[in-house]
Amino acid sequence: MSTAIRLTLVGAVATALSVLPLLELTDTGAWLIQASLALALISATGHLARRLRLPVLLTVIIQLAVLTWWIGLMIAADLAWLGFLPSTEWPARFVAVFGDGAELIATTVTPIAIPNAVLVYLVGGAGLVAIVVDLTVGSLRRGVLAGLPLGSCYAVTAYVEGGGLGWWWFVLPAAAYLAVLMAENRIRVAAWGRSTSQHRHPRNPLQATDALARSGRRVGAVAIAAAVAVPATAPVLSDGFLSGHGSGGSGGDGRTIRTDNPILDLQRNLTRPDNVDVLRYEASDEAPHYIRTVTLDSFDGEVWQTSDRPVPEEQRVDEGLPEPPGMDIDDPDEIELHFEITDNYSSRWLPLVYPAQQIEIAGDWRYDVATLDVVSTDDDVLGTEYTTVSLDVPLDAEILQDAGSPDSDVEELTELPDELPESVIEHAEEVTSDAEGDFAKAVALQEWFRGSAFTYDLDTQAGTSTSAVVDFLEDRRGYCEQFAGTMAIMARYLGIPARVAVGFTPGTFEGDATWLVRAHDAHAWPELYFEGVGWVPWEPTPAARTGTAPEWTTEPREAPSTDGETPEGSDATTAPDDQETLPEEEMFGGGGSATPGETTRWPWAIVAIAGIGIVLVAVPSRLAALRRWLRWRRAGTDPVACASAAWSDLSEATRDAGFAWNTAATPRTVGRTLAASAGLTGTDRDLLDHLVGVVERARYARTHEQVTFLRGDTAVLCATLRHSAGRGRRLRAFLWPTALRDAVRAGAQRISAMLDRWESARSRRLKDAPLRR
Amino acid sequence: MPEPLNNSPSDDVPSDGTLPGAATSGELNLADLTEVADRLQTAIGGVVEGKSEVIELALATLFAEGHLLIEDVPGVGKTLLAKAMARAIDCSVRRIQFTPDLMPSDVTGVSVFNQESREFEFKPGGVFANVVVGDEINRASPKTQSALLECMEERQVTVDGTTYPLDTPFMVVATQNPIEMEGTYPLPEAQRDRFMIRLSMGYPATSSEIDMIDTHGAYTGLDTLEPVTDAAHMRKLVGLVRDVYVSEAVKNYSVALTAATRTSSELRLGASPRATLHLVRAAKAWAALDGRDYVLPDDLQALAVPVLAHRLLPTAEAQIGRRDTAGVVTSIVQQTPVPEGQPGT
Repeated sequence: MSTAIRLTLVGAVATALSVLPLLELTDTGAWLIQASLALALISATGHLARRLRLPVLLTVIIQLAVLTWWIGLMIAADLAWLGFLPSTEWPARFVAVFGDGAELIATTVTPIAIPNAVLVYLVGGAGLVAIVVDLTVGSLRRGVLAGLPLGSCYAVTAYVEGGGLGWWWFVLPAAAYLAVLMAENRIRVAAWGRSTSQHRHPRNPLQATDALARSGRRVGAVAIAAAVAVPATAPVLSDGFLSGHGSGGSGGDGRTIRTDNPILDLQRNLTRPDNVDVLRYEASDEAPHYIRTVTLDSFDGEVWQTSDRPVPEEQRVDEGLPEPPGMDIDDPDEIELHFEITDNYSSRWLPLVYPAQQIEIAGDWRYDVATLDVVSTDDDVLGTEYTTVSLDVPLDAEILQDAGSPDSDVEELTELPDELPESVIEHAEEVTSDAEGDFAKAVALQEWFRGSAFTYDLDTQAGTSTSAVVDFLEDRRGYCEQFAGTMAIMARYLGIPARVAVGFTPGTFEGDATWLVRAHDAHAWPELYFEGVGWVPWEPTPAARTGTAPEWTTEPREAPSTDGETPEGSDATTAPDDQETLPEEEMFGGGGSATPGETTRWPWAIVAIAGIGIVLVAVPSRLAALRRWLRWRRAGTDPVACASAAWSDLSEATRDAGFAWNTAATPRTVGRTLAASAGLTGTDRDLLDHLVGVVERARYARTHEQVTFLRGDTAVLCATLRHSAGRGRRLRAFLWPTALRDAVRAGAQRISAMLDRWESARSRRLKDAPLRR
Repeated sequence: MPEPLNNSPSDDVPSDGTLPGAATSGELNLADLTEVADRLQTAIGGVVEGKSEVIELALATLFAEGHLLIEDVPGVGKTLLAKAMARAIDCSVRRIQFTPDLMPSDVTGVSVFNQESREFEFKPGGVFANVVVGDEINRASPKTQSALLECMEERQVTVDGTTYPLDTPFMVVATQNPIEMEGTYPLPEAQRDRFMIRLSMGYPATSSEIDMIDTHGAYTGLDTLEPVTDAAHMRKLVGLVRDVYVSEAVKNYSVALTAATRTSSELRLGASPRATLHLVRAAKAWAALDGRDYVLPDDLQALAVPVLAHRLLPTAEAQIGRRDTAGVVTSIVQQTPVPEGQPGT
């Protein structure tokens, strides 16, 4: 195989491997076939162009043309002349398809089903990567540069997926890149120093580099393994810690979880033809409850979304959840809920009744402090069952009326983009012109939305971007997303902290305190913040969909009465002003705050870590001692084996003490040089000479005599040697004794020899294969 | 021309106890050997001064039944060493001065027709002695050289279909002059391989040279050298050397050393299997001289250069780098691991 073909092939295979991570974004791998054909075409074109010695630039242009033609065949074959030649109508089709694809990709949640519009992006992207790789590897022979294009697909996938990408997706492009580097450098090395040896002239000069390649492969494998293993164990700074965003940024393992786009999920659920069961729940108060999955607390002008939320290890739900923010109510009732999620609902967000305080669920679930949303990076709610305890927050119009101005903590939740459309401002001010205070304004807004002016209509385009809001205010048609989003935007404009909760309406009653929630129950509603009560759900979506508005969201007329029709299951009570929250913390068994638990855990953690550290530090020297003990034990009373064991002990002690040990020296020479370098005199010198004599006789003489006290004498001698070393040397000998180093080296040699055998056997097999020329 | 140096053959020595080494009878042991060796060393050392290492190597060759090649410039005592050894043992010694006109029959002997008895009679050549000193062996024609070298290897002479065994102990001490190469026939490698040990005398130390002036001003000291032992006793002692034990580890080590010369990148020609045999035999003698009945790797190390160096040919690169074969052997010894007696842990 010529070097040019070899490089081209390696480049093509590397490209194919490097696009594999994109599979994570798509729900089918069928596009791989088209992409592979595109890769093959591009590589073949590149190789041909190089054979014809075309300029590099021309090669790239031809490859681009081939790629375009290939994509054209995929999407516009019906417009082609003779079924395959580009026609003048192609550009229009291209523009249309790529436009569709861009829109689809921007609005769809991964994994994406693949229509043509998306396919062109995948195949086109793979093709571009192939062209750049072919350019760098095949034409320029600068394989190092191929790292960028080869890593691009992984980078794109990792970015879109938000960091939750399996390590195996990394291994493939990394291995592909190393293969490119190795192929290129082998060719470079083989072009140098042709062997002048008469022994063999390998027909393929690359064979001369086989041994180098073998070491290279091992180094590469170790490098990839390290690249995969080290990030998994290394501590990472929390996002929140660096950006100051989010309230849980206490360092540690700060994995920021971003939701799949919940708004899109919402519309998809509402409009799906089959109204599948999502979950069942059983509430201890037998009342219906709004089920919340995720809270959208950030509006960037385009979309309501979750802010970045670090959820460190300490925020696992096993220890309970903290108090809901802003709530200042003594001894609220508790509701125990049991959830059963069906196999139709997959989410990394846990459906809950706000505010949850305790959750019993298997897996690694963590809460966000600000919203009490519960998420997981690894687990999914699909088919799980869990039990929660939520607070039954007593809500009452009068309390809300009396609530003070919001705390500065939540001020950021009134943030809006700088350019808010005029119509939003006008409507907000107009509707609330008669209202005094936050509560009255909110009531006015909700009444306006629920009034006859607005129509509930699921056919509205998804979205709460500012332009979508303007459209909504004009058309007065929309579904819960527009109602909730727009009310939250207006509330923020009016200075009331607001956010959008996404989840489900209470569903249908099935008897036995059990409620069934189905896909069409998906819902979104705004939550407004009132000091002393916390986050209060509102319901601007018209009655056609949601029934009567919650009790507390209307102006108080009579004495309040509790009603089961309340979202979040709560009724009103007075909110005492006192700041004493301690009894509550006690009541919730330390779940209210992470602080008490931490203070008790700390010393133990230190002690445990210190203990483990000491054990770990002592392990090597103990292993070395064990090795010595085993050696003598195996030797038994056999004089030859005993002498051998004594000599091995001496060898280890000598090297532990930092003296050289020459395997090419005879025992006599060793004894002489050791006595000189260690400055042994008197008894020690005698012991050493005696040991040398014993070893000589044991190894080389005809008869062996039984030597008593050899082990003890050797131990004394070794101890003297070890003590003659400096403190640093002794510490090193303790942490990483020679005995262990020898054992590790021997093991490594065995593994290396095994690999050598395996590789040579494999290459023999390949050479014997009949197809090989 | 062959010339008898010592006219008293071994069987003429009276066995009445006048010779110290020959007095003991019955079972000999290594102590006897070392005692004799010490006496020999002292006796020879009295003649060849300040060369105890060379004498020791020469004795080792003697006890190992090998032959000695002494390479050095003229006048450093090559011939003196050979003569002193021969006289100290009280055995037959012949000296053959190798010249270009020396014939093979001068070395081996010739059958002469006796007119009186009307029969062919064998006249032994110069090789028929216990110690044969081949002086300036490289001056003889290759034909004559090889006649001697065949006798050395086979320890017998065949003339006209009749085989005449040579006496034991039999030792050839050949000398060679490395300078004045004009008109000489340097020994080919194959021939040099038959010498167990090659050594060079080297110049004496200053003090030894001064002593030499005092003691050997008029005479060589050879005249006053009294025999220490005799050939019969030597035969018994050589038997002791044969019994010295060579462990598997040492055998492995010797093979490892010679094998290393065959794979060394600095050598064009490595050591032959005969070199391995010679190395072990010499090491046995070396161990016996030390009073040990087993061979140590130390013995092999001490003898590696004298036994191996003259059999090897350096590569052109090594020659350019002024690496002589002795240096290569030294570094091989320094690099070859010493095997342990048993598979150790």
